[in-house]
Amino acid sequence: MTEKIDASQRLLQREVPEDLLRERTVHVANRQNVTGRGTKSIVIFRIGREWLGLATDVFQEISEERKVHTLPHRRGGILGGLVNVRGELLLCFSLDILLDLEPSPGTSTGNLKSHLLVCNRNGNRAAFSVSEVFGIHRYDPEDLRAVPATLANVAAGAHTVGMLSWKGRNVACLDDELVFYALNKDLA
Amino acid sequence: MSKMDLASLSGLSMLELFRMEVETQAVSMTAALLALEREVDPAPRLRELMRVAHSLKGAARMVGRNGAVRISHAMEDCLVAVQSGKRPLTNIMIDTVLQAVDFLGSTARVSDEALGNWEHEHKSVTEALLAALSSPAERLPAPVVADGDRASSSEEIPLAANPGPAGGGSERREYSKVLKASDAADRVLRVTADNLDRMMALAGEALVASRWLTSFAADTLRLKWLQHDLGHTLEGLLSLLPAASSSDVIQSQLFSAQGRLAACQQELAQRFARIDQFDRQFVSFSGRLYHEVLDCRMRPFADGTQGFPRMVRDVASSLGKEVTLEITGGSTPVDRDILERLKAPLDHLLRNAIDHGIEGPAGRRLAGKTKESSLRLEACHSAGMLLITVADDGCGIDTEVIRKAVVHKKLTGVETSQKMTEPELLEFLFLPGFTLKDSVSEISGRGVGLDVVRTMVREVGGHVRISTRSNHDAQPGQGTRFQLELPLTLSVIPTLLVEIGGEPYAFPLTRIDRVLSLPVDRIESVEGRQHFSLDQEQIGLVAADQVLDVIGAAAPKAEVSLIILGEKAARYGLVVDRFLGAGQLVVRHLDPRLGKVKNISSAALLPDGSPVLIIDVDDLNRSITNLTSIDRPSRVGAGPGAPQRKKRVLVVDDSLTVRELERKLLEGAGYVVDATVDGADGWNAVRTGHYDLVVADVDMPRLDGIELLTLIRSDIRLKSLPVMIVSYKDRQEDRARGLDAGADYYLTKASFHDETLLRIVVDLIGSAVS
Repeated sequence: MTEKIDASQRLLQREVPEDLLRERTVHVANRQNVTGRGTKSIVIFRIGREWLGLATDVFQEISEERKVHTLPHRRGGILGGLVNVRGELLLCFSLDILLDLEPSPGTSTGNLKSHLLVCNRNGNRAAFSVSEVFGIHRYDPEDLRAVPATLANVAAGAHTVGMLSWKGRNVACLDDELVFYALNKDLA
Repeated sequence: MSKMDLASLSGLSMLELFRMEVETQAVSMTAALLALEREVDPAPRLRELMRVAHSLKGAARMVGRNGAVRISHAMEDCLVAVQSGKRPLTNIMIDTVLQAVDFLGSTARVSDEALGNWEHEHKSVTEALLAALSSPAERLPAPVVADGDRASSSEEIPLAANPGPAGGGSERREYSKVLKASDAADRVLRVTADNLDRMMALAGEALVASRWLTSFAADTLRLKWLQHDLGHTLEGLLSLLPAASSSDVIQSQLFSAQGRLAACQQELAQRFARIDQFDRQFVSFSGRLYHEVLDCRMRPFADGTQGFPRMVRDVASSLGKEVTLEITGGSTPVDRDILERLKAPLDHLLRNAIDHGIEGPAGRRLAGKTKESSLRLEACHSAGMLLITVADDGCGIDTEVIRKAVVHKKLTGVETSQKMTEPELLEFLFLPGFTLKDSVSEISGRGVGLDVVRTMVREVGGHVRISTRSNHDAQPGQGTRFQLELPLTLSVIPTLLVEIGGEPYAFPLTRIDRVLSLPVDRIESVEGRQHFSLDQEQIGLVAADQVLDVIGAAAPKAEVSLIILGEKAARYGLVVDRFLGAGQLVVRHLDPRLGKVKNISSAALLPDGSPVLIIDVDDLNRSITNLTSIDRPSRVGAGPGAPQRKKRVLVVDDSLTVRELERKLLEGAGYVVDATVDGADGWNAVRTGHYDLVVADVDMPRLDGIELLTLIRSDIRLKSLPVMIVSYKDRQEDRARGLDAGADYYLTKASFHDETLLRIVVDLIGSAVS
């Protein structure tokens, strides 16, 4: 027994070989591998016929679609109304109107919604109704492609930072700062 | 009840408050004292310390802690001496003040009962500390303790920086004794309102969830019936089997199926019973949790009346009257919001009673009353309302005097005034600016007091009544009584739930005059405006969906659902889609980012968890008045017209004055105006909104006007957006720089006139609506 303890003591306390130490030091000191792929994370979701992405860190929870109560004198605006999330009344916004999304064919009252995204960006809480949520996706900012020139011409189309290929689809990555800026401005 | 009794009634929580204050202030004082040692300019710190010492003195006086009053007073003196340079700012001085702070802390922890003993035991410490605070001599007070002490030196709080072991031990004993005393009292915790709101939200959600389980259990009943049906089918099958065929295999299979079904039924019944039991428990628990959280909002009435005995004494003595204030019902729970808002109205009523109601000593003698007059403040719960009574035994209010004053102030004619009843006349007292006093004194007489009272009471949905027995037929007056009838809480209000535009809205029941269903054929029309007759009165109809600007339900109906709102002069019949019933709602505040939402006061959740908006009835009345005076109300059931698009202007300026001036000017001309505080903000705004014009300053932080202009001109979507520069810089080269960067107009603030700005804007983008 004591032999075994001695052996393990020796094993653990042995000197680290000089070359191994140097190699590891270089490896740890090397920052090149740290930057690179998969450093940004978004949640991918769909509204009607558009696939969109929003930075993961603004998400608080994703729940099923709930009843939204519209606010008087706010008809047709970005602010959709109030929604009850775990007993708290949150403001629910329409990305459809903010992003000028087209309603899918066959629906008269806009896109069908099944999920509610609950977001919190620097204390500004907001909920969005969406059609479908696909989960978290990591990507390299270098893979972002420019938005089509036609979008660049649309008056309110500046909310997209770039396009991303994902499972054969083009996902529009939203600029969360600009999106929340637009929401708060709409409230003021 | 005397003043002493009062103290014992409310003293407990007052001491708690004092303790809390000392604790908080001790922390800030200690921090400030410690910072003082390092500060280059100690003056601001000293001022802060003096302010704290002063407020501690006031607080100690309120709870009758004379030792603490003396210590904090000496502390104040000491700080003043340091500030004026009479005493050097040394470590020893700081130590002394720190010890004084500790002393205040320990005296605050002593209960009222133990105070006598404690003060006796700590007499020498107190004296030593006082001496150290007031003497400019630079020595620690510790020796003073030893010198000046008699027998109880081991019982002292050690004042020296390094207490001896014996002293320390006894101090600990002392503290543990003190702690035990304070533990026995009702402990007070400070919880932020946010925290409480979130707790209430979760408790409410638990309540909603518990209701879901009930309906789930009810649905499960269906399964029971299905099994029951299955049993019948099996029995039918068995009876259909020809007895003679004696097909044993089939028969035995059927019997075993029946057996299995019975087992299933039994199993289900057991599960069902368990769900039922759990459901009942859960409902009961979540209900209790919810009410407990709601109760957190209640405070004893005594908490809101602490300042009154003192105020009454001071006011009475300044008027040369002898008044005893008697407060009863101090333990009555009152919603903390209501309690907070009650303070000013009660203050007014008490001052009024002392000044107007109660006679001077001579007057009382003449009326055969006791020299000392009594003033009663009473709180109790009655029939689901909170009743607060302020009553005096003074001369009462002579309604004839009011009658004369009403006529004199031309509020009504002589004849009408003769017909008015006593309650009607007393009602005039609530009018703003109406006073019976000839002179305005410091105490009352400006005629605003009762207006304040009524406004507050109305705001929370209550009533106020006056009754009086004045000098009649040589009988001396028996006094005046004000009774406030208030809701028990502002967090839960009874409401009428209605549907407007297919969505639920709630009207506070206290603000509704009447509710009725009106057959369509009773609706008449005058000059195109719809109305109907109710009790000889013509009541105009307004569609709720039009007032609220929501999309209404267009389906024509044989009857319309009406809510009658408004004051006597201007009553309206508000047409809603349908009535959903009455319900108690727990009020939730709207997201502060929304600001004030027109016609809406707050929100709530319905039992099924869906949101409902609570109507701000005062605001709604105003909206209806505006709507009917400016617009033409739409015919009941008719759809609203399409709104016109107004031109939008973005103002970018870091000066609030300029920004608001421009905003006012442009909004006055009908434009929709957004304002941002600097170029960077402006750049964000201009990219996200559809603007027809940007009006920008040049000198701004982060991103200046020229840079903003350059960004706009280089943006493919925005490059043709008209931009106007408004700047102080009026040199030729500044102008050229602006115009070169692509400004459509360069206006100098020197030539900034209302008309110039507007004329240029119209030149650039045309008038607001086109």
